[in-house]
Amino acid sequence: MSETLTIIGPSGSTAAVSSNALNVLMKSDFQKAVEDGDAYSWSSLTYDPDANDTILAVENNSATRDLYIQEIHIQTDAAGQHVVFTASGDTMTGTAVTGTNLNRNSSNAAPATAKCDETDNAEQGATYPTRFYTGLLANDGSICYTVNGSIILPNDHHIAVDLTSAATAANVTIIGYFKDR
Amino acid sequence: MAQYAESAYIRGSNGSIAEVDDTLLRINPITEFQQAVLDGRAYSWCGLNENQDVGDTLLVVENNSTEHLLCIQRIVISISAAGGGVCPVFTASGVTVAGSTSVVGTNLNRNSGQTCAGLCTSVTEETGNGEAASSWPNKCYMPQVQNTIPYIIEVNGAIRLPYDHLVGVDSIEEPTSEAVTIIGYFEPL
Repeated sequence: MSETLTIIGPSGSTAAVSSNALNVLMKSDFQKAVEDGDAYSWSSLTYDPDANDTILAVENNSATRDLYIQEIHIQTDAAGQHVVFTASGDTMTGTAVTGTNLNRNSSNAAPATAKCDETDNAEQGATYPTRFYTGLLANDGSICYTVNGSIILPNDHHIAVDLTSAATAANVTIIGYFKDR
Repeated sequence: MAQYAESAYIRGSNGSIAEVDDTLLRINPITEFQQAVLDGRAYSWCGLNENQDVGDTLLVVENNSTEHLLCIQRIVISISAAGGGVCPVFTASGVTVAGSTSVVGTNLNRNSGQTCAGLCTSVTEETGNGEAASSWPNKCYMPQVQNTIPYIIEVNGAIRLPYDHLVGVDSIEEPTSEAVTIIGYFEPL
């Protein structure tokens, strides 16, 4: 004698079995966040940074949700080193960057503060004590770090990107999503 | 033949119930690395503004824990050298690590109060290992890194270092500047 077990979700849908295999759908936290309207892109417009200027910083302002970083894109027209770092407790100062919700069906706004040319953090003066990535780029070089949610920022913590040499045109894009703690 | 039918939810220890989208059971595979990040056991070690001497190792991370493996997830190598150069990625053991600048690991989960102090030693311009002199007998990768173009190696935990073993990155050419990032996590034995 055997028993039949039907797997149902909280919405009442029933999982199917086809060709003797349970049908499943792989959905990452990032994909789920996009679906729920909790994933955003923050992109700086091109600007002319001095050495050690912060091109873009994104701070989590939610006390109940963590900010998970998915991708970091860096472009510069001048050869030099870039630093991806974190800090906390700063008063974010600079040119406001509004996060773009990746799900255009959603009207959610990001509980975050993002600034281009952010000037309040003092990490460069302390030689960037909490670094995630460092690298070198050539003239007109670019890099994408796909971190897949492996950087987690709680309330009042931010992620930022500096160039340690002056450039005349630089851009940074950070993709991230919010998830309940 | 089924004798009777039963419906069931799949409920996690936190009370969350697995969703079924249309007829598809939703799953979210978690890697060992992702779990380590959530647990606060994953770190980044980055060199900064380095200009190594001939024969120095660009960056080394050694496991000092007898209770954990140090698993390497990702290595990013940048060098500034005309024409680029080969950058051996190697392992060694029993080395008295010596270098110009200590590197403090950054916990990837900023919710975590954990640090890797006492769990590892990391330095740039490491001079204690003699691997280059013996042509890196325990080399894992020999990438040709182009001038100022970061080379990313997705190791995905496939290098696993027990106590007193290290991972290091050399450059056969002498770059004028370099930056190496190593991402890794501690896995309890």
